[in-house]
Amino acid sequence: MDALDRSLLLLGSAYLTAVATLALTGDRRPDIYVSVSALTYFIYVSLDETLRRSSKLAPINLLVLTIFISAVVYRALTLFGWYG
Amino acid sequence: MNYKYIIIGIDIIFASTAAIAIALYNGYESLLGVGFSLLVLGVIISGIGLTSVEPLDRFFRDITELNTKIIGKVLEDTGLLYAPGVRTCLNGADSVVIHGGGVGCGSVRPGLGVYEGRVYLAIPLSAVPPTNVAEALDSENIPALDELLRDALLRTYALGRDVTVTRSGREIKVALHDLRPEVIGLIKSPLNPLKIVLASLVSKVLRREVIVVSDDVLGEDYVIEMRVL
Repeated sequence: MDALDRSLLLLGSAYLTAVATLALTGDRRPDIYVSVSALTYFIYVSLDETLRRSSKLAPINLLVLTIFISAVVYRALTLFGWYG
Repeated sequence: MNYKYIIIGIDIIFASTAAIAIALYNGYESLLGVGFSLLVLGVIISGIGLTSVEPLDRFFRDITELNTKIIGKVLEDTGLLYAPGVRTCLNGADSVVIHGGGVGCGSVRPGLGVYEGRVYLAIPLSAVPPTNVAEALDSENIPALDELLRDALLRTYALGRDVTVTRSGREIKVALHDLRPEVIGLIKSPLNPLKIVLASLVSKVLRREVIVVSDDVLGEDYVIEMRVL
């Protein structure tokens, strides 16, 4: 198996484990799912050198970071009662 | 670009979009979260597919082997193969590291040449890697020799597991422990690049000329002894 194949398979497994755990706990907040997904991605990327070496991750990181910040802002707005 | 990952990513995006649509239509909030998560995963995998590049490790290894063979042939033809002395010469902009036994600094110039009837190969000191050491030396707080060697050989190049530096008078002994097998292969090549790099590095850090007294591979360790001139 190619090194990048293995890396993506592990990323997918880590990702699905996190999401499945949230689903099993019965969490119904979509922003929490998105936040946990983004964090899983960042933690995995920081551990896997193959993934960092094989791709230019800067634009993907920027996009995932934007999604994560949006999810956090949405949660904050909801908590303060300014949205939703 | 890797089309396999792009297609997998797009498939996941389609599946997640369907999941989101179903969740919105039926009011399944958990499925909505899973759908959004999968959407992010699809985007990540597509992005990796779009930006992935094949690693060039294999290419560089083959090119290094080719260069080693070419240099080995040149050294053999010029009689330098059996004159393994390495020393550095600090002549300002013309600072070089010389491969060729018994050659004094005098008017040695970079390149392949003859001085006092002896053939030498002189490499400009500024061209010898690693370059990040030059930046460290230009700074106001110059790190200690062993810290610089550790940074260059272990953190930058990951050649082995540890470096020990022993100084006694004008003698400096550098031991690089648990070398990687590929590095041991390079050390045994006619123009030992590690010997050149270490002599240059020590010379640059101390701002003194050095001459390599001996070097040896002991199991998985490489030990080089230099004398500061």
